Amino acid sequence: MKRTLALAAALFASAAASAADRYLPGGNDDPNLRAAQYQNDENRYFSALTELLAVPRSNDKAADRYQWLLAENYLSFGMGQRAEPIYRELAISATDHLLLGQARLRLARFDYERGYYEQARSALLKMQEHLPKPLVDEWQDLSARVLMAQGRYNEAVAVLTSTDNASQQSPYTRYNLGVALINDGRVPQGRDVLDRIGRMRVETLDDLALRDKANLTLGWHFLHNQLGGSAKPIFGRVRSQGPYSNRALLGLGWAELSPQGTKQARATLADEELQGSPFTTFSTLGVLLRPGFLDRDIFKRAGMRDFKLDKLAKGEQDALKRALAAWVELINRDPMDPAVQEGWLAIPYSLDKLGAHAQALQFYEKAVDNLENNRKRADAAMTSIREGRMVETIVRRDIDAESGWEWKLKDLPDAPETYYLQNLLAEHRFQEALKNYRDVRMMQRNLDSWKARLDTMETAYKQPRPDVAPEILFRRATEDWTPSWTEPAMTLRADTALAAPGSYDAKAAPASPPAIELATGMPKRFDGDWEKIQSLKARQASLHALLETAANDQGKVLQTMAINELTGQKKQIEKYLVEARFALARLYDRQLKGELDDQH
Amino acid sequence: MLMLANPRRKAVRVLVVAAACAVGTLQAAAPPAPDANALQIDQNIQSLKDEVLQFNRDAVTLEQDTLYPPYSRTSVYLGVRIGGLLVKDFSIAFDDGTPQTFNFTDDEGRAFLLHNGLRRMLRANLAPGPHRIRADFSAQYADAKPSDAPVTNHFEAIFDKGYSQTDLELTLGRSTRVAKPGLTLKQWSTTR
Repeated sequence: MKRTLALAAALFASAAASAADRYLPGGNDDPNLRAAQYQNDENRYFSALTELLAVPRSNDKAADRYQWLLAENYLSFGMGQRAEPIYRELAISATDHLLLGQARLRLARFDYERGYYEQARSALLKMQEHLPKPLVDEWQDLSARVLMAQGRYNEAVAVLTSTDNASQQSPYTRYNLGVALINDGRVPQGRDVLDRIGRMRVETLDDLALRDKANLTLGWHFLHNQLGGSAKPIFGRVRSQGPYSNRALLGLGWAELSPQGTKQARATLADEELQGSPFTTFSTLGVLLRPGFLDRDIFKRAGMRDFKLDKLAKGEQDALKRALAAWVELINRDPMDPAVQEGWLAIPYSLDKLGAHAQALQFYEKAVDNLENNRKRADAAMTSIREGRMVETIVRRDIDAESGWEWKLKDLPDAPETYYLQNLLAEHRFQEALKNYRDVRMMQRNLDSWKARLDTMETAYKQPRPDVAPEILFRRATEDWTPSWTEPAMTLRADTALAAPGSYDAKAAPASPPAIELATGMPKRFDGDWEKIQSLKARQASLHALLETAANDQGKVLQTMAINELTGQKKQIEKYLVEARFALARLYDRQLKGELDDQH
Repeated sequence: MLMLANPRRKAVRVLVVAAACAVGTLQAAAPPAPDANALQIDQNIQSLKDEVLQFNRDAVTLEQDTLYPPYSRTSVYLGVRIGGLLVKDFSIAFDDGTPQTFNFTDDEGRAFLLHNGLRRMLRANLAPGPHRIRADFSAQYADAKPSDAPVTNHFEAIFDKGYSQTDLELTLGRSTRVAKPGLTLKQWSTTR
């Protein structure tokens, strides 16, 4: 009473909340729904879904926000199978076509990245007819990527060129168009598109990397087609320090030595204006390997002793020197890069051609040492992968993040296998498998935490619990109920010796219980809190075991992909080793015969 | 031996570019079809996710009913309605109880502002009848200088706890554009 009075007095001194407003469970005002929204905005999709699923919902069709949020979180947590029927249902009544289109595109992107190409293509085709205009570019981009993943380059080109929006398409889309055109046999047009991307003005580091990638792709395309003369300036545009610079340096060297080809005619596809040169810095390979750089003695820079040049044609000698300039720069770079490894062989090959046989021999010996070291590194990386260390190291970052499908690999572990596998790590098939593996591990930890919580609930159940005043339970049950009469007011009291009014005298003698006719639909067994706890404990144990199996299966898929990739790279190293040893044997043989007379 | 500066960062750049480009590059043959085994595992994991979520729903509901019976359950939610204001600390107490304090990271602070979501700060068991709620917060504008004083305020109110579960929504906002940010209380109960 004292406390109540004190609170009543305080009522005048502070703000008072107005009477409680009512909300419909799962409706827009439901604080639980809005708490799920907060969790969604925190990328905690698993928690948001748990929150949403725990909302006791009526069959009110008006609660669209609940359904949108549910579908969005299902998809974000990598459950496209669950999200798809909800979006399909929402599409029937949706009035915001832009929102619906965005959701459908997101679902199609999920299918594409997970490898369900046919579903993705089908979904994209279905939405094409009523596609909101602001989504056209994104739809084109995704459709083309799906078609290209299926090897349908011709259709991809048709999708990307079906509307007059070349200037609005992202550089990534244009890059894909260039690749699709070349793979479809429309080589000159494809080259032109890639060439434009390779000369585009850039504002971000990602765009710079794309520009380098376009130049690298185009340069190697020319090289494979015996068009070294066309490849050289393209490789020269690649930045001297960047993710694609080593491959470009390697290509630049080979472009000097390969047939130069004829000047290629330009065949334009798009109606884009040609841009001026965006290469205003000194950071490209073309500038790094400028004529002045080459005129200084490239052989001295490479630490070679003087030697007498073979009687090569002046043009061939110059080409070899220019190739060496690129490769000498290359071999000082990361020894784990396959391009650098090839550079170790390319240099002695050129030296041998130039007549510097002894120097070539020394370089081959160095190359063998380096390649042997790399083979050991590859073996160590393979062991690490087989022991599952690589995957565990990657997923250990943000270990409790519930970001599901939206999880991004932002950083790579500093482990030997990381470098070998960077191309594989970039592929959707690996990334999506990694996301699943993370999610399974996260769910296992979730179930682990429930084991202790269920034990606590079980212990609490066994403890005596405080009695709840029956009046409170009665008032709660009748809080929203208005009786059809006014008097008398109904109350409830606890009756511990219940009998017909006035008839209780003493405990009745035991009699045979009357037959009770159970109503149909009665539960077959009692399902109280204790039984629920036991059932949850059994489910927890069973699910944990299933998750362990799933984690092992998914881990094996990741491991197989990594081992296959690494095996391919190891084979390449071994191939280089065979080549180097064969060349060495040949040179030793000639040395024994006194044929290596290049020293002054 | 000269090494590339920060090769891991460059590798990440490759990831970004590769993610936006089509599968494969210039190739004569079509790219390989997706691995059927990998797709099967993906579908299995999606089903397992569903089962784990159902389990969590059932377990959370039972735990909540056990620890916070509906007749005494009181939940407190916090929302922020001032653009750019990142809540840093928040404390709350009922009646003469000890305040419980919560600290927020910048990411947590930003999540309040994205879609007007609410964060459930706590659940408590309160007997039916009048109760006093006290809350304090400290916040900082996203563009504030480190030397700027934080925005703080105190809130106190009486609310009447009914016989059913009660939800208390505390909103950090301001009554006019120049008013000092403060908390307001809204009490909710569910229709059954």
